[in-house]
Amino acid sequence: MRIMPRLVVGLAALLVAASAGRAQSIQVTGIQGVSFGGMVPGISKAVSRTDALNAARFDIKGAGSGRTVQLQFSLPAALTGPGGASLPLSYTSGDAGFSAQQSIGNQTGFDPRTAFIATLSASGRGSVFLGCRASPAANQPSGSYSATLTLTVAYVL
Amino acid sequence: MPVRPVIVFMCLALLRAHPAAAQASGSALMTGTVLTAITITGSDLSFGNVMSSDSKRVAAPLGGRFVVTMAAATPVTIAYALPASLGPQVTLSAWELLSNSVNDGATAQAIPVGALNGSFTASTPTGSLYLWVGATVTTANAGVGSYSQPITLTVTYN
Repeated sequence: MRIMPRLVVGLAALLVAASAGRAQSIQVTGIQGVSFGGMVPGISKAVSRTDALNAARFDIKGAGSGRTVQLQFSLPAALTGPGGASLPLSYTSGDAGFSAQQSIGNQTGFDPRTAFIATLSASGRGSVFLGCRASPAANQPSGSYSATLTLTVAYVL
Repeated sequence: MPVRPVIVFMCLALLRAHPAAAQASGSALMTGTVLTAITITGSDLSFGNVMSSDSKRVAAPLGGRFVVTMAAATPVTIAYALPASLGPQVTLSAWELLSNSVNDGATAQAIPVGALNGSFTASTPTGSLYLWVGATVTTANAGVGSYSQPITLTVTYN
Protein backbone atom coordinates (compact mmCIF):
# COMPACT_ATOMS: atom_id res chain seq x y z
CA MET A 1 0.00 0.00 0.00
CA ARG A 2 2.99 2.34 0.21
CA ILE A 3 3.46 2.29 -3.52
CA MET A 4 0.07 3.82 -4.30
CA PRO A 5 0.72 7.40 -3.09
CA ARG A 6 4.01 7.49 -4.96
CA LEU A 7 2.23 6.33 -8.12
CA VAL A 8 -0.39 9.04 -7.74
CA VAL A 9 2.23 11.75 -7.27
CA GLY A 10 4.17 10.40 -10.21
CA LEU A 11 1.13 10.51 -12.47
CA ALA A 12 0.32 14.03 -11.36
CA ALA A 13 3.88 15.10 -12.04
CA LEU A 14 3.61 13.66 -15.53
CA LEU A 15 0.45 15.66 -16.13
CA VAL A 16 2.18 18.83 -15.08
CA ALA A 17 5.16 18.00 -17.24
CA ALA A 18 2.85 17.42 -20.19
CA SER A 19 1.16 20.72 -19.51
CA ALA A 20 4.44 22.54 -19.27
CA GLY A 21 5.43 21.00 -22.61
CA ARG A 22 2.56 22.86 -24.28
CA ALA A 23 4.20 26.24 -23.99
CA GLN A 24 1.65 29.04 -24.47
CA SER A 25 3.98 31.77 -25.63
CA ILE A 26 2.79 33.97 -28.47
CA GLN A 27 4.15 37.13 -30.00
CA VAL A 28 2.35 39.82 -32.04
CA THR A 29 4.36 42.41 -33.91
CA GLY A 30 2.86 45.46 -35.58
CA ILE A 31 4.80 45.72 -38.83
CA GLN A 32 2.97 48.73 -40.19
CA GLY A 33 -0.28 50.62 -39.67
CA VAL A 34 -2.77 51.79 -42.25
CA SER A 35 -1.28 54.66 -44.21
CA PHE A 36 -3.73 56.96 -45.97
CA GLY A 37 -1.12 59.31 -47.35
CA GLY A 38 -2.49 62.61 -48.58
CA MET A 39 -6.21 63.19 -48.28
CA VAL A 40 -8.32 65.91 -49.83
CA PRO A 41 -11.00 67.54 -47.64
CA GLY A 42 -14.46 66.28 -48.51
CA ILE A 43 -13.24 63.20 -50.37
CA SER A 44 -13.13 59.84 -48.58
CA LYS A 45 -10.19 57.55 -49.13
CA ALA A 46 -10.07 53.78 -48.71
CA VAL A 47 -7.06 51.53 -48.21
CA SER A 48 -7.48 47.89 -49.22
CA ARG A 49 -6.15 45.07 -47.03
CA THR A 50 -4.37 43.80 -50.16
CA ASP A 51 -2.45 47.06 -50.55
CA ALA A 52 1.07 46.01 -49.60
CA LEU A 53 2.31 49.56 -49.19
CA ASN A 54 -0.55 51.05 -47.20
CA ALA A 55 -2.51 48.28 -45.45
CA ALA A 56 -1.79 47.48 -41.80
CA ARG A 57 0.13 44.29 -41.11
CA PHE A 58 0.69 42.29 -37.94
CA ASP A 59 2.89 39.21 -37.75
CA ILE A 60 2.09 36.45 -35.27
CA LYS A 61 4.66 34.03 -33.93
CA GLY A 62 3.23 31.27 -31.80
CA ALA A 63 4.48 28.09 -30.22
CA GLY A 64 3.73 24.72 -31.73
CA SER A 65 2.13 23.96 -35.04
CA GLY A 66 -1.38 24.51 -36.27
CA ARG A 67 -2.64 26.18 -33.10
CA THR A 68 -5.99 27.89 -33.13
CA VAL A 69 -6.04 31.52 -32.08
CA GLN A 70 -8.59 34.27 -31.63
CA LEU A 71 -7.90 37.59 -33.32
CA GLN A 72 -9.47 40.70 -31.86
CA PHE A 73 -8.83 44.22 -33.08
CA SER A 74 -9.13 47.37 -31.02
CA LEU A 75 -10.18 49.73 -33.80
CA PRO A 76 -9.92 53.50 -33.53
CA ALA A 77 -13.08 55.30 -34.61
CA ALA A 78 -11.15 58.29 -35.87
CA LEU A 79 -7.74 59.73 -36.56
CA THR A 80 -6.73 62.65 -34.41
CA GLY A 81 -5.05 65.67 -35.91
CA PRO A 82 -4.19 69.33 -35.37
CA GLY A 83 -5.83 70.84 -32.31
CA GLY A 84 -7.55 67.54 -31.55
CA ALA A 85 -9.43 67.53 -34.85
CA SER A 86 -11.13 64.22 -35.51
CA LEU A 87 -11.19 62.45 -38.87
CA PRO A 88 -13.71 59.56 -38.95
CA LEU A 89 -12.71 56.02 -39.88
CA SER A 90 -15.06 53.24 -40.97
CA TYR A 91 -14.68 49.49 -41.34
CA THR A 92 -16.60 46.95 -43.36
CA SER A 93 -16.97 43.18 -43.16
CA GLY A 94 -14.10 42.34 -45.48
CA ASP A 95 -11.57 44.89 -44.32
CA ALA A 96 -9.39 42.41 -42.41
CA GLY A 97 -7.59 39.34 -43.65
CA PHE A 98 -5.61 36.46 -42.17
CA SER A 99 -2.85 34.52 -43.89
CA ALA A 100 -1.21 31.48 -42.31
CA GLN A 101 1.31 31.71 -45.16
CA GLN A 102 2.04 35.32 -44.19
CA SER A 103 1.27 36.33 -47.75
CA ILE A 104 -0.74 39.44 -48.53
CA GLY A 105 -1.82 37.74 -51.74
CA ASN A 106 -3.29 34.75 -49.93
CA GLN A 107 -5.68 36.01 -47.27
CA THR A 108 -8.96 34.86 -45.77
CA GLY A 109 -11.09 37.94 -45.25
CA PHE A 110 -12.97 38.65 -42.07
CA ASP A 111 -14.82 41.41 -40.29
CA PRO A 112 -12.36 43.37 -38.13
CA ARG A 113 -15.20 44.57 -35.89
CA THR A 114 -15.70 41.08 -34.45
CA ALA A 115 -13.39 38.38 -33.11
CA PHE A 116 -12.10 35.88 -35.66
CA ILE A 117 -10.79 32.36 -35.12
CA ALA A 118 -7.73 31.47 -37.19
CA THR A 119 -5.30 28.59 -37.40
CA LEU A 120 -1.59 29.31 -37.39
CA SER A 121 0.74 27.56 -39.82
CA ALA A 122 2.69 24.42 -39.05
CA SER A 123 5.53 26.65 -37.95
CA GLY A 124 3.21 28.63 -35.67
CA ARG A 125 3.14 31.72 -37.88
CA GLY A 126 0.48 33.93 -39.37
CA SER A 127 -0.13 37.48 -40.54
CA VAL A 128 -3.12 39.75 -40.22
CA PHE A 129 -3.85 42.57 -42.64
CA LEU A 130 -6.26 45.48 -42.33
CA GLY A 131 -7.63 48.18 -44.57
CA CYS A 132 -10.32 50.79 -43.88
CA ARG A 133 -11.81 54.05 -45.06
CA ALA A 134 -11.10 57.59 -43.87
CA SER A 135 -13.66 60.31 -44.50
CA PRO A 136 -12.32 63.85 -44.08
CA ALA A 137 -14.98 66.53 -43.89
CA ALA A 138 -15.12 69.33 -46.42
CA ASN A 139 -13.79 71.70 -43.77
CA GLN A 140 -11.28 69.22 -42.30
CA PRO A 141 -8.26 71.10 -40.94
CA SER A 142 -5.12 70.36 -42.89
CA GLY A 143 -2.23 68.60 -41.20
CA SER A 144 -1.05 65.24 -39.92
CA TYR A 145 -3.47 62.77 -38.33
CA SER A 146 -2.85 59.49 -36.52
CA ALA A 147 -4.39 56.81 -34.31
CA THR A 148 -3.22 53.60 -32.65
CA LEU A 149 -4.47 50.27 -33.91
CA THR A 150 -4.12 47.22 -31.65
CA LEU A 151 -4.47 43.52 -32.40
CA THR A 152 -4.80 41.02 -29.56
CA VAL A 153 -4.16 37.35 -30.26
CA ALA A 154 -5.11 34.62 -27.78
CA TYR A 155 -4.89 30.86 -27.96
CA VAL A 156 -8.21 29.11 -28.08
CA LEU A 157 -8.07 26.46 -25.34
CA MET B 1 -0.69 9.67 5.96
CA PRO B 2 -2.62 8.69 2.80
CA VAL B 3 -4.23 12.12 2.56
CA ARG B 4 -1.12 14.07 1.58
CA PRO B 5 -0.54 12.48 -1.86
CA VAL B 6 -4.18 12.99 -2.72
CA ILE B 7 -3.93 16.68 -1.87
CA VAL B 8 -0.78 16.99 -3.94
CA PHE B 9 -2.48 15.26 -6.82
CA MET B 10 -5.52 17.52 -6.62
CA CYS B 11 -3.37 20.64 -6.59
CA LEU B 12 -1.35 19.48 -9.55
CA ALA B 13 -4.46 18.33 -11.38
CA LEU B 14 -5.95 21.77 -10.86
CA LEU B 15 -2.86 23.28 -12.41
CA ARG B 16 -3.27 20.92 -15.34
CA ALA B 17 -6.93 21.66 -15.79
CA HIS B 18 -6.46 25.44 -16.02
CA PRO B 19 -3.32 26.29 -17.90
CA ALA B 20 -2.71 30.04 -18.21
CA ALA B 21 -4.45 31.30 -21.34
CA ALA B 22 -1.69 33.08 -23.28
CA GLN B 23 -2.42 36.15 -25.31
CA ALA B 24 -0.40 38.97 -26.73
CA SER B 25 -1.08 42.31 -28.34
CA GLY B 26 0.69 44.35 -30.98
CA SER B 27 0.08 47.91 -32.05
CA ALA B 28 0.68 49.97 -35.15
CA LEU B 29 0.09 53.59 -36.00
CA MET B 30 -2.53 54.61 -38.55
CA THR B 31 -1.55 57.83 -40.30
CA GLY B 32 -2.77 60.29 -42.87
CA THR B 33 -2.29 63.86 -43.94
CA VAL B 34 -5.13 66.17 -44.82
CA LEU B 35 -3.99 68.40 -47.61
CA THR B 36 -4.81 72.05 -48.05
CA ALA B 37 -7.88 72.52 -50.21
CA ILE B 38 -6.96 73.64 -53.72
CA THR B 39 -8.17 77.03 -54.86
CA ILE B 40 -7.88 78.55 -58.33
CA THR B 41 -8.46 82.13 -59.31
CA GLY B 42 -8.02 83.53 -62.79
CA SER B 43 -7.79 86.76 -64.71
CA ASP B 44 -8.66 87.16 -68.38
CA LEU B 45 -6.41 86.80 -71.39
CA SER B 46 -7.49 89.96 -73.16
CA PHE B 47 -6.59 90.75 -76.76
CA GLY B 48 -8.18 94.17 -76.68
CA ASN B 49 -9.33 95.63 -79.98
CA VAL B 50 -8.49 93.71 -83.15
CA MET B 51 -9.17 94.71 -86.74
CA SER B 52 -11.61 92.65 -88.83
CA SER B 53 -8.73 90.94 -90.60
CA ASP B 54 -5.70 90.96 -88.43
CA SER B 55 -3.32 88.98 -86.23
CA LYS B 56 -2.41 89.99 -82.73
CA ARG B 57 -0.28 88.27 -80.14
CA VAL B 58 -0.40 88.61 -76.36
CA ALA B 59 2.67 87.06 -74.74
CA ALA B 60 2.09 84.93 -71.68
CA PRO B 61 3.68 87.21 -69.08
CA LEU B 62 1.25 89.93 -70.19
CA GLY B 63 -1.71 87.63 -70.76
CA GLY B 64 -4.12 85.75 -68.57
CA ARG B 65 -3.04 84.58 -65.14
CA PHE B 66 -4.14 81.78 -62.86
CA VAL B 67 -3.19 81.59 -59.18
CA VAL B 68 -3.38 78.13 -57.63
CA THR B 69 -3.06 77.59 -53.87
CA MET B 70 -2.44 74.07 -52.60
CA ALA B 71 -0.32 72.05 -50.19
CA ALA B 72 3.37 72.90 -50.40
CA ALA B 73 5.73 70.35 -51.90
CA THR B 74 2.86 68.10 -52.95
CA PRO B 75 2.59 67.02 -56.59
CA VAL B 76 -0.54 67.95 -58.49
CA THR B 77 -1.73 67.34 -62.01
CA ILE B 78 -2.82 70.44 -63.87
CA ALA B 79 -5.09 69.82 -66.82
CA TYR B 80 -5.91 72.60 -69.23
CA ALA B 81 -8.52 73.04 -71.93
CA LEU B 82 -7.83 75.85 -74.39
CA PRO B 83 -10.30 77.16 -76.95
CA ALA B 84 -9.47 76.88 -80.67
CA SER B 85 -11.33 80.06 -81.48
CA LEU B 86 -13.24 82.94 -79.99
CA GLY B 87 -15.95 82.72 -82.64
CA PRO B 88 -16.51 82.60 -86.42
CA GLN B 89 -13.42 83.77 -88.28
CA VAL B 90 -11.64 84.48 -85.00
CA THR B 91 -9.11 81.74 -84.40
CA LEU B 92 -6.61 81.25 -81.62
CA SER B 93 -3.19 79.67 -82.02
CA ALA B 94 0.38 79.55 -80.71
CA TRP B 95 -0.67 79.00 -77.13
CA GLU B 96 1.97 79.73 -74.53
CA LEU B 97 1.94 78.62 -70.89
CA LEU B 98 4.33 79.72 -68.17
CA SER B 99 4.62 78.50 -64.58
CA ASN B 100 6.29 79.85 -61.47
CA SER B 101 6.08 79.34 -57.71
CA VAL B 102 6.39 83.09 -57.22
CA ASN B 103 4.43 85.87 -58.85
CA ASP B 104 7.00 86.74 -61.49
CA GLY B 105 6.23 86.03 -65.12
CA ALA B 106 9.69 87.12 -66.21
CA THR B 107 11.37 84.20 -64.46
CA ALA B 108 8.62 81.66 -65.13
CA GLN B 109 9.29 78.36 -66.85
CA ALA B 110 7.63 77.47 -70.14
CA ILE B 111 5.22 74.54 -70.17
CA PRO B 112 5.10 72.82 -73.59
CA VAL B 113 1.62 73.06 -75.08
CA GLY B 114 1.24 70.28 -77.61
CA ALA B 115 -2.52 70.36 -77.98
CA LEU B 116 -5.52 72.34 -76.87
CA ASN B 117 -6.21 69.77 -74.17
CA GLY B 118 -3.28 68.58 -72.10
CA SER B 119 -1.86 68.21 -68.63
CA PHE B 120 1.35 68.42 -66.70
CA THR B 121 2.60 67.67 -63.19
CA ALA B 122 3.69 70.44 -60.87
CA SER B 123 4.77 70.98 -57.29
CA THR B 124 5.57 74.15 -55.44
CA PRO B 125 7.57 74.75 -52.27
CA THR B 126 5.49 77.80 -51.43
CA GLY B 127 2.01 76.31 -51.74
CA SER B 128 1.24 78.82 -54.49
CA LEU B 129 1.57 78.34 -58.21
CA TYR B 130 1.26 81.08 -60.81
CA LEU B 131 0.41 80.33 -64.41
CA TRP B 132 0.40 82.75 -67.33
CA VAL B 133 -1.34 82.14 -70.61
CA GLY B 134 -0.66 83.79 -73.94
CA ALA B 135 -1.85 83.18 -77.49
CA THR B 136 -2.27 84.68 -80.93
CA VAL B 137 -5.68 85.71 -82.23
CA THR B 138 -6.24 85.82 -85.99
CA THR B 139 -9.29 87.38 -87.61
CA ALA B 140 -10.32 86.86 -91.22
CA ASN B 141 -13.10 89.25 -92.15
CA ALA B 142 -14.61 88.73 -88.70
CA GLY B 143 -17.82 90.44 -87.74
CA VAL B 144 -17.77 93.43 -85.48
CA GLY B 145 -18.46 92.60 -81.86
CA SER B 146 -17.19 91.14 -78.64
CA TYR B 147 -15.91 87.58 -78.47
CA SER B 148 -15.06 85.34 -75.57
CA GLN B 149 -14.43 81.70 -74.70
CA PRO B 150 -13.42 80.04 -71.43
CA ILE B 151 -10.00 78.67 -70.60
CA THR B 152 -10.42 75.85 -68.12
CA LEU B 153 -7.81 74.74 -65.63
CA THR B 154 -8.35 71.67 -63.43
CA VAL B 155 -5.93 70.92 -60.60
CA THR B 156 -5.96 67.65 -58.67
CA TYR B 157 -3.61 66.12 -56.12
CA ASN B 158 -1.75 63.10 -57.47
